[in-house]
Amino acid sequence: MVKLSGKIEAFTLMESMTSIVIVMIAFSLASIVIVNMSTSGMTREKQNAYMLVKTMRYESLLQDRFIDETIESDDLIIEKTILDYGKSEDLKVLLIEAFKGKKKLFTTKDLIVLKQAK
Amino acid sequence: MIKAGALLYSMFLVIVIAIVSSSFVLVNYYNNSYVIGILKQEELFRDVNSTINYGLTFHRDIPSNVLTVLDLFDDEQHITSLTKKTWGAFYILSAEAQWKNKSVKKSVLTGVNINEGEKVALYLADQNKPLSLTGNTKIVGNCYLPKAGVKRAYIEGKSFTGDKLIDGLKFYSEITLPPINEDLINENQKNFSYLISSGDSIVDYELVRDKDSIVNSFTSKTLIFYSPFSMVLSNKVIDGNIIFKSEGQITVRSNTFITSAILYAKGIVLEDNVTSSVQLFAQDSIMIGEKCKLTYPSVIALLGKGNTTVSRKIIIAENVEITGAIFLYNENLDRQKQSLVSIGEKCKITGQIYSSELLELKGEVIGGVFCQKVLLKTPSSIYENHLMDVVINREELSEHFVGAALTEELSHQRIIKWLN
Repeated sequence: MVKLSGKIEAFTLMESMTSIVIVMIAFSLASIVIVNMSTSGMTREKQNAYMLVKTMRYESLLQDRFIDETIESDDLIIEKTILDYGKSEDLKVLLIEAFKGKKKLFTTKDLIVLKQAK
Repeated sequence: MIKAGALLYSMFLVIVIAIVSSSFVLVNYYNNSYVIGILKQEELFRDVNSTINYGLTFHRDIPSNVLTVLDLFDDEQHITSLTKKTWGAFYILSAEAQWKNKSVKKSVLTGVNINEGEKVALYLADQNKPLSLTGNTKIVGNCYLPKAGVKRAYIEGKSFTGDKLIDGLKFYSEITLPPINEDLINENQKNFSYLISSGDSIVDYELVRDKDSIVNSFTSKTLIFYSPFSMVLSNKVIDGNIIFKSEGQITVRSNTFITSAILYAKGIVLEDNVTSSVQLFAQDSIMIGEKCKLTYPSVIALLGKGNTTVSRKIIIAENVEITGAIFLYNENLDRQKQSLVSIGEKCKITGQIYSSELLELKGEVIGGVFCQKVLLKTPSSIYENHLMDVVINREELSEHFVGAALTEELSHQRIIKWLN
């Protein structure tokens, strides 16, 4: 067994306690940042909502399908609404919204000219 | 005094955690910025399309050549700009939406929905003479004819061979044609002069005479090539936001291909076999050579102003195909030198024909014909209000055909094509 050449100084209780507190604070701040990061921005459910809204908008424009509709996919609800545009009868607002529960995830808004008015 | 040995370790650990956390934050920030940028870009495209739809609907209320700022949904979230300008017999709507350093700009060429009103195959003004048909003449669609009616005729050894004189409803026409759209005439009359609007760039034609291709986007200023003399467009590809103006005659050779451009001159000559999509505006005469093919949306227009020493003419030779509009408007009627639109044999015109004076028609028209008087020239004589071996079929014209606003009744704008 090798014998230590010098004497290693031990930490005091106070010293150890202070460093533990500092590390704990650092960890908790880091975890807050990571949790915030994972819940903000483009989450998986927002991505799904975006794709569904985009598909619904594209199909509505392609097929001139301008009626109010609601579709449900997993826990997402996509609502398509045709609203009057106050300034003209020929124009309508195509509003498509994606919800999860009561939380609105994504919205698109377009001005459209109805085919019979073209 | 507390020894700081363990504190050093903990501080080192804190720094490591801080670096790892901040790199996560940074990656997330850039990722979010990128995604928001993409979503915003898509929103800008949607707003631009919405602005174009707004422009089509409020076409008459939007002033020409003025930038109009719109808050589309009155929420200060969708602010765009719209500009309208005349492009020959049509209009260009340009919409732009911006967000930070991102910008989306789109332009469309628009015309009118000619199917919105009554689908008229033939409108012949009432000059107290009946319309006489002979040979293999076929008229399909509603017609406005003189009160003297329509009858069969026997000319040059030919008699009428069809089953029905008119395959459609017949109505009485007025003494004059439905009035031509004054805005269309005035806007284009202005363009014959050297004067240009502040948004255009004028270039001496001599500087580009030897160039083989001239291309200018509709997002740029209009390029106007001007010459006080006659021009010959030979061996060139001309595409886009370009106007040629000449105080003399413009001649287009068959080795020249023009797309979207406009020609303004005293006289315009298209030599045989020219293939282009072009708008031609002349003050005195337009000659279209044999086998020319003018694709949609082409326009041949003669706008006579003041008096002239010779009669104004649009002469279209044989075997010509034109899709678009042909119109003649003469400010002052001179009974000795009446203006004439002459369409040769085996021609196929798809779209609109409007002649405020005479029309000599042979060949086939898929669309509507408006004229004051029809002329038939044979080797032995000249007949008024006679049609021989002519087909006018309004029913065959596509529902989607978008034409020029030749009369003021037509107002609903539709997109002809996207320019960028």
